[in-house]
This record gives sequence, C-alpha cells and structure tokens, in this order.
Amino acid sequence: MQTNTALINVQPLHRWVIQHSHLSAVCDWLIDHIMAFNEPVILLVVGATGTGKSTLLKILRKRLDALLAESMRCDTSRLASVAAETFFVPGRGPDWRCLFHDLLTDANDILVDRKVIDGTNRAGSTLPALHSACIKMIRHRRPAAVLLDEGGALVEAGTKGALAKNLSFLKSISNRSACHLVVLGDYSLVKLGSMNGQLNRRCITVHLSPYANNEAEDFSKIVSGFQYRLRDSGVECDLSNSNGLLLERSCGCVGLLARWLSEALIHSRRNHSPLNDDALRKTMAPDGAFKVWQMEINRGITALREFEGVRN
Amino acid sequence: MKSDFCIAPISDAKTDPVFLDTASEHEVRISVPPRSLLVGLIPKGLGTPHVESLFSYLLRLADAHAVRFVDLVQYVIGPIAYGPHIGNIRFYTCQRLQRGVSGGEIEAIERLTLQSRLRELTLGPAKNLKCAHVDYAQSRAWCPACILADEEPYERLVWQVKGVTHCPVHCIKLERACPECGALQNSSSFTVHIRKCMKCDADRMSRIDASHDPDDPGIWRSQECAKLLVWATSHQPGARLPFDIFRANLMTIYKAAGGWKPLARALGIPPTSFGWWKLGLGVPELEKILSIAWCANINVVDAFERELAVSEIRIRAIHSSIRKPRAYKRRLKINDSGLLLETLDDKIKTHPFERVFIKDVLTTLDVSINSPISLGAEFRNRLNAHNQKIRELRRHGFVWEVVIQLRTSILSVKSSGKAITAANVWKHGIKSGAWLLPRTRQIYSRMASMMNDNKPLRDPALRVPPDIRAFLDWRASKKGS
Repeated sequence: MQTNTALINVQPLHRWVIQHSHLSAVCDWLIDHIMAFNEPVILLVVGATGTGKSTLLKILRKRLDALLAESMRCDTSRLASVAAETFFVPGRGPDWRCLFHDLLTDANDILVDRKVIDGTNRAGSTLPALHSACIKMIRHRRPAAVLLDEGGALVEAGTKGALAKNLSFLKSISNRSACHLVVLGDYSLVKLGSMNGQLNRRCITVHLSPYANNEAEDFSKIVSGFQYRLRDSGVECDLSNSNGLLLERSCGCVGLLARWLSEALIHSRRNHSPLNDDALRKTMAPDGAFKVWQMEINRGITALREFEGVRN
Repeated sequence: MKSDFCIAPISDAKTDPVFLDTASEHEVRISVPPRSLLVGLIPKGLGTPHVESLFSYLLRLADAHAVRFVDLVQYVIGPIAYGPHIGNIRFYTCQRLQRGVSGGEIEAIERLTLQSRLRELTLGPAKNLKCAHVDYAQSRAWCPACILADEEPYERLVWQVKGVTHCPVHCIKLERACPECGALQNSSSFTVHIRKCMKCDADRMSRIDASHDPDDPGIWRSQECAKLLVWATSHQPGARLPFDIFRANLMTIYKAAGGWKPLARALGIPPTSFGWWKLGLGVPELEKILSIAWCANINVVDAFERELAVSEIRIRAIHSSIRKPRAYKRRLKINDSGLLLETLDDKIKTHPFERVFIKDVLTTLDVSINSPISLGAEFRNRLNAHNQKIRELRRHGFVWEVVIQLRTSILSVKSSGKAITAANVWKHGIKSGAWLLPRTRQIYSRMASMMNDNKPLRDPALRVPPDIRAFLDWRASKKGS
C-alpha cells in the first residue's frame, strides 16, 4: 500500500533535473566563457543522447538570469537569455521560420505574426522578416546568449543549397546580433565546424561526455542520489549492488539511467516487489538498443578526436 | 519574464549530484523587475534643445520590433490606451500621436516601455505652462543635415513646432516636402519612415540645400523656440509661466520702443492687443512672443525669467518683422473693397456668429476678386461716399445691413452671368433694391430720429431678416449679461 501512494509522488521521474559533475563542469565553463568573452562565438555543446543537454540548457538559463540580475534591474528590457528548439523537416532541413518564431515568442516579442523588413509595407512575417526581427530583438534585448536545443538538425539539409542557407543564417545571427550562440545537439554537430572555414573560426566545440568506466565512483554517487530520493518518496529500493550494471547498460548517460529507473519502478509496482537488481535486469534496454547507443557514442567520440580543439 | 524573481541553482554539484527540480536549498531567489513588453529605448536628446519628438520615438520603437508603425499603434498601444473595444482607431490614433496629445497614449507607451520621461517628447509641458497656442505644424519637417549626421536618425521636437522654419543647429531651412515627388509627409500613411518618403519611397535626405542667410530671423526664431521648449520642460506640469515678469518686460519694451504703435506695426498686429496682454487679459501666442523678443532683441527665456532694464533692449528696425501677419496679407488681397472689408477683417475675430457670416461674405468677395475683374476707382469712390452711413450704422451695430446689401449686389451680378465690374455691381444693387431697401430707409430714418429725439432705436415693428434678428438677440443678451 505504501508503494502505491509513493508512486504518485515519483511517477514523473524522467522530469527530475539532476545536476552532476559532468554537467556542472560544462555549465561552469560555458558561463565563464559567455561572461568573459566579448567577441561573439558559436559554442557547440555536443553529447550523446541522454547525457543532459536539455537539462544543461535549463540550468544555464537559470544561472544566466541570476548572473545578469543586477544588469536586468537597471535595464528593464534586457533578457538574460533566449532559447528555442530547432525543428527538423524531413527533406528540407531545419525549419528556420519556426525557430525564429520560437525565439521571438520566448523573448515575449509583440506581433510575431506581423513582422516586416525595413522599408516594406507587407506585414506577413516572411522568413527574411522573421530573421531580421530576431536579430533586432537580440540587439535590443541584449541576452548574454541565444540557446538552441536539438541543434543536430542544423547540419541536416536536403541539398547543398539548403546547407549553405543554414550556415549563412548561423553566421548572420552570430555576426549581426553580436551575441553568443550556444547550440546543443548530438555528435553530428561536430560537422558544423568542418564545413566552413569562416564558421570554423567562430565555433568552439564542447563535449558533454557520458560517464566512462573509470568514472564509476562519480556515477555511483548519481545512483545513490536517485536511491535516496526514491526512498524519501517512500519507494522501497536497493541499488547499491547494481552500480556496475547501471553504468554499463546506461552507457554512462544520466538521462538513460533516469528513464531506465522509471521503467524499473513501474515494473516493481506491478509486481509489488522492491526496486532492486532483478527489476533493473528485467527492464534494461535490449542488446540491440544498447549496441546502437554504444556505437553512436564511439563514433561521436572518434569524430571529436579527429576534430581538433575540442574541450572535454 | 513573468515572475519578478529568478531562481538560480548554486553550483555545488562538482562532487555530489543534486536535484534541481525540488531542492530549494540548492537555489537562491534573486529579485528582478518584470521585463518591459516593448523595448525601452532611451529617448534621444532629453533635456536638450534637440530632444526627440514622440512620433520619432514611436517610429524607432516600431523599427526595433520590426513591425509597422500603424500596427504598433493599433494592436499594442491602442488597446492599452483606449481599452479593448476600440474599433478602427488606426488613423485617429496616428494623428493624435503625431500631434503628441498628452492623453492616455503617453501613459500607455510609458507603461509598455517602462520609461518615465516620454511626456517631454511632446509639446505637453509647453501647453501645460499656458504658453498659449504652441502647436504642431500640419506636416512633418526635417533637416537633412541633422538626419545624415545622426548615428541613429531621429526627428527633433522643435522641427515640428508651428512657425519654426530653420534648423537651430545647421541654420538651413527645414524641408517639408519630398525632394523627388514633392509630397508632404504626415502620419496618416501606412508607411512612415524617418528617412523615406511615404509616397514614392525615395530617400528624403538625398538633397541638402546648405545655402542660408545668416541674418534670417527664422534661424533666431528656431533657436529661441528650442531653448523655450527646454525651459518649459523644467517646470512642473500644470505650472503657469511667469507672465507677471513678461508683462513687466512688455512695459519696458514699450518704453524703449516709444509706444505701442511702432511695435505693433513691426509685428503686424493691432496696438490694442498689447493692452490686453498688459492687463493680463490675454496671453500672446508663441509666435507673437518670439516676434516681440526678436523686435526687442532679447532672449525669450530672459523675457520670462528676469525683469529687463531699458538699456538691455535694442528695438530693431520697423521693417524687420519676422513675417508678414495674416491680416496684412488679407488686406492686400482685398484692398479694392476698401474700408468696409477692413472693418470686416477686424470684426472677424470677435464672435462666432459674425465670423461665420463675414467669412461667407469674404468668400464671395474673394471669388469675385480672384476672377478677372476690376473693382476700380469708381466703385471705391462710391463706397467711400457710402462710408459715412456705414459708420453711423456700425456705431449702432447695423454694419451687417450694408454687408448684406453688398453681398446681394455681387451675387445678383454673378447670377446674371455678367462680369463683376463696379458699374455692374452698382447698377444691380440699385436694380435689386439692395441699396434702397425700405428697411434700410427705415433704419436711416429711425437713426436720425434717435439722434434727434433720443428714442430707442430697436423698434419691434422693424422688419429684419432672421440672421440679423439672431445677431440682435445675441447682442442684447451680451449687453444684458
């Protein structure tokens, strides 16, 4: 009976936001870089799925809000950051219109559907109008950084022309808005730096790495964190003997770990059993999925090594 | 940002992981005021003679948000200024904003931008100070040299003041029409831009006429007007200009000029106006204040701030008036009509009833004069001969009888299709009985009897047309009150 009541409290386990050592390190580095460097750069944060890129974005926004609070008190129109998620249209690449629309909406801009380009009379929010409006918004609102999630879509383009357009949009946002651009995405983002010399000069790649086998101690702390919180919520669980398994089968990715624990929790509830090694083994990802993740991480890390200047 | 605080995670997770979605002990609350909906642009030139106009501020605001000026007004400012049920206020509000009314619009813009000194971008402070009749010009004006020199171009408030003709900085004449198509620029168009023509989209700053006469009084007037606007903003809203000092200075100017007449002639106004101002019964228009300061060779602000000595005032030459007054122009235009119209010209300022009536008459006369006619010497002589009677009638408020007679004669000539010549007007006047109306005869006889026997002039039995009766009633009510 205790389990059922507790489950109501812990069900949104996948929404738990955990800040761990890898995330903190990358976040600190990004904050230092954004606050210290005046020249606008494109910061590419790459990492495997589930390593906490979206969590990083949330934490980054909150910390920028706090750091710029003083400046925001003086300037009531200033924003600490603006963020949007890149949306991929199959065969066409990223939907820039949607992206600019989201950025303007995030900045609480007015009349997003009635944007015009200078000197024209047609109010219809065409792509150039939204692009221009977005750059103007960034110039006037002066955010410390523009954050783009799911940035992997930026390098996916149906044609060469589409890719060139993507690159030119990125360059123009970086140049004209004089603002740091933080793009978070999977390992395909690494390609961005190698596509164009001009872009390469402005890009800094940061790796949000999963926990490796030699970081078992750090990973066990995260597992303990989950265990304590589950126990606080009234869930009977014992994960102390499963550290090795959790590290291996989650590929060291905290997001995958959280998802796995969530499924194991549901399984244990159904069977009225505690959340232990057995429940974990029954709900772990199949070998095929595990291999795909592992392969993707390995391939990404190889690509990163080929590309010089990566901060790990 | 919707809330007035932000939550910041404390970065202590280098060793131990922390859950940020629940753990409030790992977060700090930092107060941040809510963000402004519109970008809080800083108004240009605040507190200086080159202060930006509200209209220009809104244009920059619309540009900052990449929306059209009309959309900004209709969909963002309008609903806040007038409430949700506003209907189509597009044109109305644009006009009002152009004219910078100090109503709900400014408060709405201040709320949206979280700026507090936007009232200074209008003539509101000057109007609040009872610096009477400070108003905007009908169309926008600009100095191309200033706009081109600006890093971010903006329109100055002083350019939009009625009567300001020159740029106070570059001393060149302000432009009012597009150099390409000649269109005047106003705010009723959908496409208003600081640099582009609203009609042909050409760059309005493409031509600069840098030639100017350094002795042009318009330059002085513009510079003084700019100073006066700054001075007006330094007073609290609702405060009165220190007109007591101005009146004292007016008397000093009177002494220096040696009477009102030379000064009145230089300004092109009747000397009686000074009497009103001197007694504090009226306040001169900004244009007049500037003209007086110009004639007396003093600073406008000095005229209000401190009492001047006679030695400080150097009256300029009589013919150096800043511009010819409107009344003088009109008199020139209709000089052939003689004394009667001159009288009408004075009368036109007195009462709405008379104004409407006389305007009607003047319109008729202007039409006749603009057409190729000559109301020659003969007509003038005959009219002068009639003036004795007119004067008598005027003394008793019956000038309108004569006006009607003249008007009837002219209209009679016009309707007959003949040329409006003096002979024809006179002939038709007699023919139509305009000059010899029995009523007029009655009036004349009554007047004579009144003068001899002191009988009351207004006989109820006297037949007068309705408009004249209305006029008489009005006069009687005025006298009674």
